[in-house]
Amino acid sequence: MANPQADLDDHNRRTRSVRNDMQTRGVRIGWFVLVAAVAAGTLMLYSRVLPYVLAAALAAYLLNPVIYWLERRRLPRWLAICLVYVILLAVLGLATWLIVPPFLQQAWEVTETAERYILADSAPFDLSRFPQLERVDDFLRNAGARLGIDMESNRAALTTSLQEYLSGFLNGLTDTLLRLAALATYAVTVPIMAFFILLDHRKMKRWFLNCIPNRYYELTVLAIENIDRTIGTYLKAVLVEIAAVAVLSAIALQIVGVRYALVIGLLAGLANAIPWFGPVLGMALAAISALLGGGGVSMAAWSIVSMMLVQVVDNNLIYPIVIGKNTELHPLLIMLTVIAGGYLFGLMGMFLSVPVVFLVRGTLQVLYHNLKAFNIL
Amino acid sequence: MGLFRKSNDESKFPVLKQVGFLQQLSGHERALFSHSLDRRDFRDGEWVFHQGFPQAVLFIVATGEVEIVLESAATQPAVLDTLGPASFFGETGLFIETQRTAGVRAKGNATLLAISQEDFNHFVQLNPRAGIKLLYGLGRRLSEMLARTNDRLLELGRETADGQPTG
Repeated sequence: MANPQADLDDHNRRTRSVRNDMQTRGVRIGWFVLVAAVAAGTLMLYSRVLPYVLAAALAAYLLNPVIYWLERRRLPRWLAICLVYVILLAVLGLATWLIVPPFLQQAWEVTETAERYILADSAPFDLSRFPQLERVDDFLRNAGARLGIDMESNRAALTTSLQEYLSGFLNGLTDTLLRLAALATYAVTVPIMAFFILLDHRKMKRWFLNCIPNRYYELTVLAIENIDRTIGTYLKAVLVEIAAVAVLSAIALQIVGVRYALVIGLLAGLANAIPWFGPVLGMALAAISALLGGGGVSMAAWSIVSMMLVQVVDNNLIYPIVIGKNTELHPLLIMLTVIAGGYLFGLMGMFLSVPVVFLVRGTLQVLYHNLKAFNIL
Repeated sequence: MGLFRKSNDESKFPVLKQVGFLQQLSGHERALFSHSLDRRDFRDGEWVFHQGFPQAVLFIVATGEVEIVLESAATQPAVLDTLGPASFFGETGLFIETQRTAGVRAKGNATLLAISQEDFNHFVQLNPRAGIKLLYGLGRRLSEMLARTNDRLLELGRETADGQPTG
């Protein structure tokens, strides 16, 4: 038999429950809006220092395996970080002492040789060879008077534009000095930030995971681990490949007898980070270096052959081992990426655009895979 | 900043003393282990995970209770078991990539402590002495589960054999 009072109580309980649910949902939406607003505000506030944070994070990422290795040998983490910093400073100091002078010497010689060629080409056009040009000013003054042109006002305009040019040049100089100051700030700030990231990155990860709702917790844990693995593997592989190609190129060019083997080898190694274009750039640099160094066409040809041999070793031995087949992009996409990177961020953009696209693609693949696995997509 | 801070505070999660595979650890080792744990608070009826999801984390029940639920598209979810404080689940996910064989949801408000495969490996590698004890504890638990499964299979085999008509 139906009990009207019990039905009423049940109805009231359900109504209260629905109201509570709606209130909870409202509070939750409000909370997420607040968090999003604070996140956007924080991003805006710190947007100017974002490059510093990214550089520090990258440095920390690359140093972490070494620190972890030391930590596993019973060294406290803070001491391991300090030790790595001291070793890095020592290595940099030694490099400055040993490598930089010959590097600068070679770079200076390249510039000098280039200048010599350019000056030799421009010698026939040296104005001092044409004394009759000294009368140009008189001729122009007379011509102006005959044609009714006020040469004095034009001279004033010319002076003004010259002044503007000089002022622009001085501004450019100031700009360069400011850039140098910014670089110095980078050199000081980034290692300090990297130190704190290295010291507390696990606490940062804990804090981040605490902000994730229960529903997405395990997904986030898995995604972080997989993205970390993908990015870490790729970055380490690229660094190993750059180092290997740089060393091999320098040795090959030294054997051929190219004069600036160290500089060209290093540049070829760095350029190799750009698939397809990088190796061609390396070969071109080697050939130009051989020609400028007075080696003639045969040395230029041999330097190209030696760089091709380095590429054969890289493509068949180094690349498959350290990077593998998983990170292949279509050549057309690589070409568009390099052009877009160069258009947006100059030379640095050309170098970094392809690795960035690789990393973004890898991250998206991991996220997609995990979202599918957790039935969210 | 915590440069020179030594972690010997075991009172962060007192329940850890009662957890089977952590009992061999010293107080200091348990305190170190607790730094690798994430605390997750669940409301009554909230799902910890669903059946079929990838297994990435080991959970320890700190307070409250959770239900192990067999989810099926054809029938209503069936509660297989209820776990209380100091119980743990998801240990196979620390060793192999696999999927959850059942769902888990909170029965009343519950607090769980979670550790991922990466954090677990990190702890074992940085603290090998404690790591051996941990792995031994988990090995014993997995062996017990395997023995129970074998017994159950044997029982089922016998029941099947008894039910069949003989020669």
